Amino acid sequence: MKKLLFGSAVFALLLNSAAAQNWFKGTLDEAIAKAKSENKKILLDFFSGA
Amino acid sequence: MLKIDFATKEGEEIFKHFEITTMPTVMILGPDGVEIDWQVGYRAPPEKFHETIEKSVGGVETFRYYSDLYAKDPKNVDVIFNLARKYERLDHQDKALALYKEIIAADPEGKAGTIDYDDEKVPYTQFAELMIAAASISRRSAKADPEPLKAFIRKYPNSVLRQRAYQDLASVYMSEGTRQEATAFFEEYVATYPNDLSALSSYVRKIIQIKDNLDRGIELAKKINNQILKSSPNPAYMKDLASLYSLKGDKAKAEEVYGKDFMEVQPAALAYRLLDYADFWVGQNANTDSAMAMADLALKIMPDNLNMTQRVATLYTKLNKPERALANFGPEFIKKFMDRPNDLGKYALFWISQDKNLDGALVAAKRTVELAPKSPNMWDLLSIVYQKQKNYDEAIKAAEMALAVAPEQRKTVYQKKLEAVKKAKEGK
Repeated sequence: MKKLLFGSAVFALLLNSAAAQNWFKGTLDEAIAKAKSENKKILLDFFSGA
Repeated sequence: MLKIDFATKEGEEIFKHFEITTMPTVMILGPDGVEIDWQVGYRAPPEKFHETIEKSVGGVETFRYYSDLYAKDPKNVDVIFNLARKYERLDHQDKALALYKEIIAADPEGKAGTIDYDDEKVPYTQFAELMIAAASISRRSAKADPEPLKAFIRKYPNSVLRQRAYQDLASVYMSEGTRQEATAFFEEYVATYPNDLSALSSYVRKIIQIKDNLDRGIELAKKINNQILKSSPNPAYMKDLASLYSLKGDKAKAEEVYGKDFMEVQPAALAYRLLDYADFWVGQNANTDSAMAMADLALKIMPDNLNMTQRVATLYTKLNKPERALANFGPEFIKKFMDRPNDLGKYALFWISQDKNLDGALVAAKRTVELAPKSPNMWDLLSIVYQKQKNYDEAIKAAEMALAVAPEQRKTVYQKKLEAVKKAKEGK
């Protein structure tokens, strides 16, 4: 069972609206491929929308 | 940035892949898709949390950083400890415990370094020993074994970590062990920490659970409420005391400590706490959005309280938001308290002191003299509002009325006030 410390995608709340629109839309594999090609890091926000 | 939603099938797979057990978790991956660092849970304030994430992204003291150091120098206790903590936060207990064991092996005397815990320096080794002992009661163990934690308590009689060990043991004895074992443990716990709320309340709840030794429970619950919390009783602990009285069959006592008289004052107490919070942060000129939200909530709890309404209006005035002040303490207030001259008088005085909303103050002051035409104070108030508006003719008329209705022994006072208004008119 997952432990829920805070009920929502907290990190999204910390970003300004412009940055909040920068969420990658594809899959994790696609994100890694893109990060590799651009030599960039990836930030994963684990949450539950349920 | 990628959102991983546990509620989706793909998300659930990624949770499993990285063994994420806690939400929210933020994880940083390198371009190779390998973990650099993570932050588990959220701690306010948001700006500070954001800073922490930025540090992870920037590579400062990350999991990857300590992993690389560990690869080069696997006996460095400081590095092993920091790596263990990283795994522990991610709830990867097996990896954390393996590293804690390495610390004990590398530094059995506990001299290689310390961490700050409750303002005290605790050797890494001692902390590692506690973590290993606590693992014996974790949810992963088939059966909780309290012995390692008890051994820790015996080994370190002066350690600040003992309290944590007792708390962990309390959680075990809440659900396991015989009644005698639990009672012996909790008696030891409250004897060691006689004024600790956590110790006392956990024992009280155990007594409620086993419905035995009720008098001891009442004694401890009274100590919590009468000695430790004193002037600010906490409803949760009063409920415990009422539960004990109820179990003893003393319904009257339960009603006395946790009945409607007790509960009816709680919303007001909360409203004042909210307003104190709002006042504090407005005074600091920080956290003002939250301060306003709490002030509004306080007014929702006590919408007809003049003192509170006035304090909220003062707060909004300080924040230079007169429209918000007026929303609570404006025309609607006058309508609501149309028949209460004293409240209307206070309303007028408030706005006079703020030098704002003088039209509203005039409406209120006029109404007060309609309601209390024989009160010189009210006529005087009306005169003051007119003076503020520089309507000296009306101010003089009102001051003359105050003088006319004033009792003999007060006439001198109002005579002087009348002369002052006349003088003000001449000097305008």
